Amino acid sequence: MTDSGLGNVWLVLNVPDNDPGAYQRPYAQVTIAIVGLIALAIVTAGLRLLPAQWRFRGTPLRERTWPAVGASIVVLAVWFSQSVLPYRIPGAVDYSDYPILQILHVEKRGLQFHERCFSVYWQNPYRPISVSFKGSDRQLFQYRFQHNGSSLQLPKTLVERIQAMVESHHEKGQQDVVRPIWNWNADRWYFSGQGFGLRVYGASNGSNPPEEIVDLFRELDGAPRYSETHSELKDVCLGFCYDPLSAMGWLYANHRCFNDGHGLVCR
Amino acid sequence: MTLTKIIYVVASAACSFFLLSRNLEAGARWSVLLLYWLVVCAVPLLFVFAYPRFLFADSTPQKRRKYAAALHGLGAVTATVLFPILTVPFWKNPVRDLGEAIGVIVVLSVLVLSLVLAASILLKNRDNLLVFAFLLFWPYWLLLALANTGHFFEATPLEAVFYFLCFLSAVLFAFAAGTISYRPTFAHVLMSLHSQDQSAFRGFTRTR
Repeated sequence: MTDSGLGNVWLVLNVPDNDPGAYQRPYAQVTIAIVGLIALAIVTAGLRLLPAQWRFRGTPLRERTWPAVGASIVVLAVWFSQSVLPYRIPGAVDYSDYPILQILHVEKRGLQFHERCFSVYWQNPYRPISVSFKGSDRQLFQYRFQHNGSSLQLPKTLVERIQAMVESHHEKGQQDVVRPIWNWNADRWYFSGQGFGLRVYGASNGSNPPEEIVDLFRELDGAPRYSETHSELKDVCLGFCYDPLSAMGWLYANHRCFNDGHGLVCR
Repeated sequence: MTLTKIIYVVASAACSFFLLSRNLEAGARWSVLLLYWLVVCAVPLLFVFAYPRFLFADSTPQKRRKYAAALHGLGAVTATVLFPILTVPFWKNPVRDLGEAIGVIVVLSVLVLSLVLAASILLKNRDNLLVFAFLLFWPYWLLLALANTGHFFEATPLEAVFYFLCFLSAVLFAFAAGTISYRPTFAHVLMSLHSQDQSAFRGFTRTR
């Protein structure tokens, strides 16, 4: 049950309802059920061949069926755990624009996540022309969650500030490793952009975000918004797989996985 | 015993249904797929399930069992060898461009097979006809596998063999289910040994 690079049957359950792709959720559900059944049959056969003297609570183990049921559930669980991380929607989607700057703020309180991300896009070199907002207030153990988006109208001073910030960084920046947040409470900042790399700030690594980034985030948060959109996303891991990179828009399989010549590598 | 039989029967049905569903066009209706499966897979698998009743009956001489084992072994091996020869590369597949006609051929084959078996049950001298009917089974199953490889079947010869062994799994699961009542240990060994072929699923479960 290998990943084709563009997804696997478990990830089909992440496809939003309104996705125009050819991924069929019933096909994935049936495939998963069928694999479970075949595993059950094979383990049952192995169990029935056990010696009669192998007993569990007085009954020969070969006469029981629940170990086979348990084993097939374990097979499905292992397959699931190997297939669903990192979060991705199957398929390849290339965006028309990629942001030159992104700031994501994630607040986690218990089961509740508040994710707010601002992305700055450009058309001509180093001239920010648009800023978009994406955010969600989701909870763990929720399969579906609301994802909100909007565009921002920026004052000229803020545009110039962003432009100056981008122009001041031309070298390749540090790339921090981004992992799903599984702490009970967390407050993390993620900052990425051309020349900046990808930086993670938060209590886990003991670093606080630079004032410049926090200030910019607050100013963007206060800017007037228009063209609000609402979409629905799904996470087959009930919120445990959807990570900060996903919140920054890295949603599709081609954003997260690539073939390095030796096999599939996902980040 | 009954629970084990049910598990094996369901596994056989699931295995064949899965292989059939793989190459149907995206958007195909499940009711259509189910009907297609009932006609092309369920009927032959039902006969396979019933075959051990004839094969392991007390009245069947030991010599006949040996002949049956040799003939079906030969049938299975021949079909497994022929499959990669006929499907690699994919444009060599003789049923690839038959389109709708292949559906008619498959259905007609099943009907012939069903008629022969029905006649074998009705006629007194049923043993010879049953043997004949089950010899027809292997060309039929090969044809079904060829028809379900898809238009662009990209596989190495070894992968093609594994792919065909997946088709064979459904048959052996059904046979094992039918055998439990007569030779339980043989049935379980058959199931366990054939689990090796399940590795073939790896390369062929691609997301649509």
